[in-house]
Amino acid sequence: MTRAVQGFSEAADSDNALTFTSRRVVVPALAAVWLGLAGTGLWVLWAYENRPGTDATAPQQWPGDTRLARADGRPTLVFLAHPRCSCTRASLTELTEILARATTRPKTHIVFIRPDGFERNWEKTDLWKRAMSLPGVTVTRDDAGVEAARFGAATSGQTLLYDAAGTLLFSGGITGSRGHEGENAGELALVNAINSGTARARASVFGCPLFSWTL
Amino acid sequence: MDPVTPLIADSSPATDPGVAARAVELCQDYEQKIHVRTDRLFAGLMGLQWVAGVLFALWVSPLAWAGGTSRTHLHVWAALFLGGLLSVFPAALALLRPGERSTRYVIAVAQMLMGALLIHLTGGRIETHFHVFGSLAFLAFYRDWRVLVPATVVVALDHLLRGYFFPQSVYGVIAASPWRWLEHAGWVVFEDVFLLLSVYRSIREMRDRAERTAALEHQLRTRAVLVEDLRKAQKQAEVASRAKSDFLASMSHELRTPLNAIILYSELLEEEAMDRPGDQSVEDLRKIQSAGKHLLELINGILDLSKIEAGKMSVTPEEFDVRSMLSDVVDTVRPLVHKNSNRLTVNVADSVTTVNADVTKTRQIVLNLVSNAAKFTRLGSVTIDVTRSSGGARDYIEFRISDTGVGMTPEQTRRIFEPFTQADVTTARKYGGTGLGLAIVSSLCQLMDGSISVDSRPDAGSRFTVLLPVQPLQPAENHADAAA
Repeated sequence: MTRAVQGFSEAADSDNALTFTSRRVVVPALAAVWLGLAGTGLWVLWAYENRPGTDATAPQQWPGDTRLARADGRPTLVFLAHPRCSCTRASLTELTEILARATTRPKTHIVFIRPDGFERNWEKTDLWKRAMSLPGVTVTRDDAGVEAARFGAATSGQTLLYDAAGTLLFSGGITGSRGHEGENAGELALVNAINSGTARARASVFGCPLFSWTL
Repeated sequence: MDPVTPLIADSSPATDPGVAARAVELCQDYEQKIHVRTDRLFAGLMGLQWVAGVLFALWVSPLAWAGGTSRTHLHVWAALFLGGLLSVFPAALALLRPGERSTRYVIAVAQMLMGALLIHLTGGRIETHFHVFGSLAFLAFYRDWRVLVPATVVVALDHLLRGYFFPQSVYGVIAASPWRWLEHAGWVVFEDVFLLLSVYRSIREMRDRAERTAALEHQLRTRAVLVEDLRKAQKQAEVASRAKSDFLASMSHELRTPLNAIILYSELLEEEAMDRPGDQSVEDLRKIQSAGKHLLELINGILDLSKIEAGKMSVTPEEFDVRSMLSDVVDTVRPLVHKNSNRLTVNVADSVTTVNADVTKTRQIVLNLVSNAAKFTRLGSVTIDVTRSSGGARDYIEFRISDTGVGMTPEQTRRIFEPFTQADVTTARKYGGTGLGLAIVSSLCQLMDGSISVDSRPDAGSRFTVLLPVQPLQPAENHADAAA
């Protein structure tokens, strides 16, 4: 009888030890897997955030067939955007910042594309309203992206700066990553180009594709 | 100034190893409760953050567009699945393994990663960075400084890795200094310093509280033991007192029987001797009688006191006329009053008629007090005033026996109702008496639900005041009093 009880006790101790060991192993193992998955997820997100869109193949001289008016005696800035791209909110914020910092205010066009087949006022989103609220800015609807094509733009947020003579000074994006506000290389280069009137620069552009998905 | 004597004079709680061990145990218990409570708070917070992240993504960036086509934005999937992954595992640990150290470490890491996700979902807004600092403050609720370490490491690693691979998204420049992450991590450490101080102070306060509680428990335990010892000692004393009273009662009875025989036969012998003129034994026989009567008085006193202490003295209330009882008393003490050339005055108020009390004991009380007044007064006066008074819900009869005798000092007044106590050691020699009379009177007053008090000054006389209820308590009143 005593032996049986003792045996039971040993078995119980063994089970407890097993449970204890399991806990010591299982929880850290689960935590490691969890941390790995979380890290991977965040990495995917960061990669998406920092993957630039297709750069514009902008003409070096102001295109002659555009309906947008170029300014005489001062630079002209063209901002091409998709009206429903959430990433472009950050670009508009940065554009506001750039215009505020410009010593010579350029003539500014904000052009929102409207693809074929969408109803009237489809483009009148919060981005449109926000663009309209900027002083001294011309907001234009671009049916079927004709103007965007003339300027070679492929990504929402594409910003182009032409000098008073119609020569391209800057082509690129004005956010540091997709949809992220804050100081960035494109913004600094554009401000420099506006204020100097001569510096040429390019920067990556982050935003939704203006026409079709890219791989 | 007298030093304050501690109530419990055994080992100091502060130095008692048992108390110190209990304090540690209490402190661990407090910590565990705090950890469990904070785990549950974080479990709730995780769920809230998850839901908030998904709702925010659906509101701000529901769709990604390419020309005229759209699809669900990656932010929505990230908020749903990555946010879920970051929330569910720590929340599950908080609910299944609350209070475990690994649980709060996972929560700390998850909270910082959730901060990174929310910052991303909100487009890197500077305002969302307060989530990181708020989370650190929340983690300090654990009062475990170690929790802040993995949280800080996660923030530092986040900036180190993103700064290395995607510098523009973090620092706004294409190529940042490889050490710039230290600036960001430094601000987190800056907050950590204050949080660590706060945690340190909290823990110190918690330990102080645990030590105070342990000391208090120790004192209460010691006091309970002391009270139990006292209770046992009191019980033993009561048993011993009862045994003593039983012994005295039986002994007094055994003494009184032969003593009565001695007194009786000495009286008979005295009568016979008086019939023989010139018999010299008369004086001797009178001395035998006097001594015998004194001894009998003493034994009777002891017997009465023993009965009272043993709880064997019962009260038998009956309706009697106070004036008639006083008349008996006056008749009895008149020889003693006259012997000391005193004047006896009795004033009975008209409201005093009959009372329902133990007449024998009432008479014994009044007789004793008047006898004492007559005995300790020479060429003076003894006055008995009897009135009726009300005290609360009951009516009382008040006997006030005043004399112009020798009086007592305040010290003597304080001890006068104690057994075998007289005003001073010379009193017994000078005035006689056993020193039991007033102790018996006081006990009888208490037995009859009454009271006795004395007001006296040396050489100015004394005044004893006895209050006795006119009616005994009814059983219901007794019960009510007991309940009260």
